[in-house]
Amino acid sequence: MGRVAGGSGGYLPFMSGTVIERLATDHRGKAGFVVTRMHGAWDPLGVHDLEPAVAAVLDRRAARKGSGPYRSRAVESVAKALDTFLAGVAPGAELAHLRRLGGGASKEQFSFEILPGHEAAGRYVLRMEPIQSISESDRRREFEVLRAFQGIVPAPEPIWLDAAGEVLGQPSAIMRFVDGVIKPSETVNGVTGLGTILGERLRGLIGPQFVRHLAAIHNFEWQKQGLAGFDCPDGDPRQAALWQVNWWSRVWREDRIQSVPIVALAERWMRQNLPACDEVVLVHGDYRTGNYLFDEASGAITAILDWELCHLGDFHEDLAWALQRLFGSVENGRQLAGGLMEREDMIAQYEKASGRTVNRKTLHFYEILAAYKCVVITMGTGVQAARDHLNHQEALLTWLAPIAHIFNAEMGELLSREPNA
Amino acid sequence: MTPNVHDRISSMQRTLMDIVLPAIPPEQGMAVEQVQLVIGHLAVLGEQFDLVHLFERAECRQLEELAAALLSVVDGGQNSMAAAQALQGVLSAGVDGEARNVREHIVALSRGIEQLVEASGVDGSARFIAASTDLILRSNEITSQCNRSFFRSMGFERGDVDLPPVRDLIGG
Repeated sequence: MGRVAGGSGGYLPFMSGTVIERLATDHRGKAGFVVTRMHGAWDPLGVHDLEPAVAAVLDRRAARKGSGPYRSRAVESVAKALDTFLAGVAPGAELAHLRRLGGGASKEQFSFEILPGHEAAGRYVLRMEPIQSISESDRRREFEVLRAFQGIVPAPEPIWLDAAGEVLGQPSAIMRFVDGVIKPSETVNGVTGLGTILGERLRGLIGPQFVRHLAAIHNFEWQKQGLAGFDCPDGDPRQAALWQVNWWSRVWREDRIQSVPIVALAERWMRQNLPACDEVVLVHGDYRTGNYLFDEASGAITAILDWELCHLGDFHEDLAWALQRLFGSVENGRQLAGGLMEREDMIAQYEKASGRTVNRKTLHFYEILAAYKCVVITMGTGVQAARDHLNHQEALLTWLAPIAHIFNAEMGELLSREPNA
Repeated sequence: MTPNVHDRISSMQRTLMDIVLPAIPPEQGMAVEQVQLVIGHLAVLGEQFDLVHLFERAECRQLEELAAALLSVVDGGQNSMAAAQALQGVLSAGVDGEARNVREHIVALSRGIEQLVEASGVDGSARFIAASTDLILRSNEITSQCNRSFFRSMGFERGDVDLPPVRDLIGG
């Protein structure tokens, strides 16, 4: 494993043939470190230090791009493949009520049932990868982490996996169906849960659970679980942040149709301001309103969804993601993080539930990274996938793209101020 | 004489709303969503159509101004100066007035600016890092506001956000 070394300057050892040197200070006088050589190759921005599993996913994605255009799977074709798959994993199971699920620009999703009379009887969700998902990920990692979290936080139970798509035709995972909604049934707003107005009753019920589950994810003792698909950025305190910057800047470089000055500025700033991570935790990677199911009557969260971007890193990353203004709502003139509670309330509740102290400078860094990721996903990957016909949700992807301008404004605002002490 | 773009868009919307959408069984949620998205896209395209040319011109002007401002303060090592030279080349080449070339010029300018920012991360002077940060942040305020106003009807902006009409921002 590559490990970035920290320290107070000068040249520090890294991988064989690699050195790190102090780079220019930024305009506020902060110093940054970058990997300058890796395996002897000149790498002035240190862009190659990436979690190996993520690098593999991105390599696979690059190779698949040439195989387009992608044609959305017909239900009949999925039924045929599922019949074959189930004959292998659940002989005698009878497939019924297969139908396509709406929403989601990441995976093609279908629900189906195995009829009573079989030990596997019940409802399921099948998640299949298009050629280019809006956020590329590894079904095996998602499956592994969902299995690890059973009984810890509400999460879909992973049942079967076809990681390479050998039988189902595309990399796929099958989860047990979970009842619940992602927004109140009366609301008409919001694709992917953006701007969801929960209302006072649900806010009061869901808010504390939302924070408690986030703390539980971060307090999860991943070291004892043998998560084979995950690598730990533990060689240097700054590696957790560097891996994220490298992950998303690589996606941006590979996907952008047009460069954007503020995006380049944000990347430069992040590379010069990588925060140290004091404790490596399991990061959900997409923890926000819109990515959990809840029971409308009781307000109970029935499942935390979308674990595909899960990785080991800094807890501030999830908190910053959840705090993004666009993932919140404004009710009675109050900006509510996640549509649930005011920003400072969420931070205070998180500190209490997790036993951690939020470092405002680190949070600031991850809020910039969060906005950056959203731009990469919507303006980079989404637009390219639609242009090149690599995804089943082209009309949705081009619809979502202009959101990036709000994140660009947010990034500019964040970059122009110092974090709160 | 042919129907104008607005009439064609409007007729497509009515067809989708009055004929296609009601014909889709409600259990086909994905298909319903897709038709609704297409109807929405058509509405926004209709609104933007007359402004697209002006909008691209304004975007181009903004990038030219930013590029010129960055080049006037550039300072650093070999990487930075090479990137600056490349950006100067793009800026000097200009645009010949064809809409297609405006778009191509925008892409080339923004790429050149990105490369200069990246290079300055390697060997830009502290003074240029500070100056370029301020210049890009200021330019981003204008660009973001223009784009957000242009796409406002897509519904992503909160009600309390104050955005001037896009015509006021692009000189239409």
